[in-house]
Amino acid sequence: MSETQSKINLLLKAAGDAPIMKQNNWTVEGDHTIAWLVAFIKKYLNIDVDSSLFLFMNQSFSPSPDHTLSSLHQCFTTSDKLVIHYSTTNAWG
Amino acid sequence: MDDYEIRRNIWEGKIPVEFDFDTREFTSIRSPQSYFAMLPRISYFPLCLSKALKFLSLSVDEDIDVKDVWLEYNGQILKWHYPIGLLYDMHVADVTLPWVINVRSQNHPDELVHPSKDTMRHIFLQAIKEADQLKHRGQVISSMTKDEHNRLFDSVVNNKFDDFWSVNKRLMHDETNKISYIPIRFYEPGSPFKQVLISPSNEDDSPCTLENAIRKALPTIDLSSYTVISQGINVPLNTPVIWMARNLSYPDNFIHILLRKS
Repeated sequence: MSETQSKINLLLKAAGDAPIMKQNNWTVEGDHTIAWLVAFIKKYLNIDVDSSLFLFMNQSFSPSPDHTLSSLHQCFTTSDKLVIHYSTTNAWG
Repeated sequence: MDDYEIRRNIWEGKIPVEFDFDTREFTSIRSPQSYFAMLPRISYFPLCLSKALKFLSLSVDEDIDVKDVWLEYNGQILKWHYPIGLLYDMHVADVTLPWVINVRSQNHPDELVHPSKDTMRHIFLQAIKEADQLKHRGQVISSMTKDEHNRLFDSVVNNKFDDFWSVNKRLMHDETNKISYIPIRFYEPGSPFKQVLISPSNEDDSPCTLENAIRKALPTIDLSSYTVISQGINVPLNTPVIWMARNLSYPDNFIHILLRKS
């Protein structure tokens, strides 16, 4: 039971001129942090580790690198899917 | 509800810090090897290091920038993007002052954010946006001008309480928007913070207290064996969270609560 509860359904959407991910639906551990997700997306898209990658919740703010995906899901999502936009520029200021 | 004296005292809270420069990493250093400073709890290390680094640069005869160093206490990395007061409450269990921090230059940890002023401004404003998303669905912060956003950050950099509150008061008391949820984060040493939706009132309309909020965020915790600290204060568990939001929040508009095993 705890295993299914701790997993998060994640939908990653490109914003601005960020490259699109071929697979954009993922099921990941809710304990993973935003810092982990940034590293994951950079690796998947072959983006240099030192270049910027911005993530956005609700198309309005960038979550702290220490936020867990489950905290974000609980606080900002009403559906069972956590939608996060990624961009190589600061798309929503 | 709104306690000016408390907000002012919280803003003026300072911690005496001794920066020790690691003599194994700064091999050309001449004595003395420490720098002392009183740092605002509500500020961030990257905004407060210029004098210490100038002092260090003179001792090693080269220019040392904030991006060349990182801070360590008791073997733990001090995160650039956490307020100084939160880091102190998190890492220092026995009150020994000054707080002796090791300044290091090698083996930079990957997990640190870039400590430039622009990055700090970005992270700070994003936290305020997130807090306002919880409080007012983001409507107050998005109705502010870029200049007002910058004033929030610049007043932390320049330690200007009145400037800060001239803008921040709208984020705390908006006439048309009632606060939906309280921006509050719970930290236990060694794990990522917990954040859940906390309403200002319980289902029976009584004010939500700190204890109610902790039980919601961390349902399995045995509160009798923990000390609950925010802004260096052991906060009584019956304190209403709405009062805490208005008076004990850090400038990033979040209440940061540390739960330490007692």
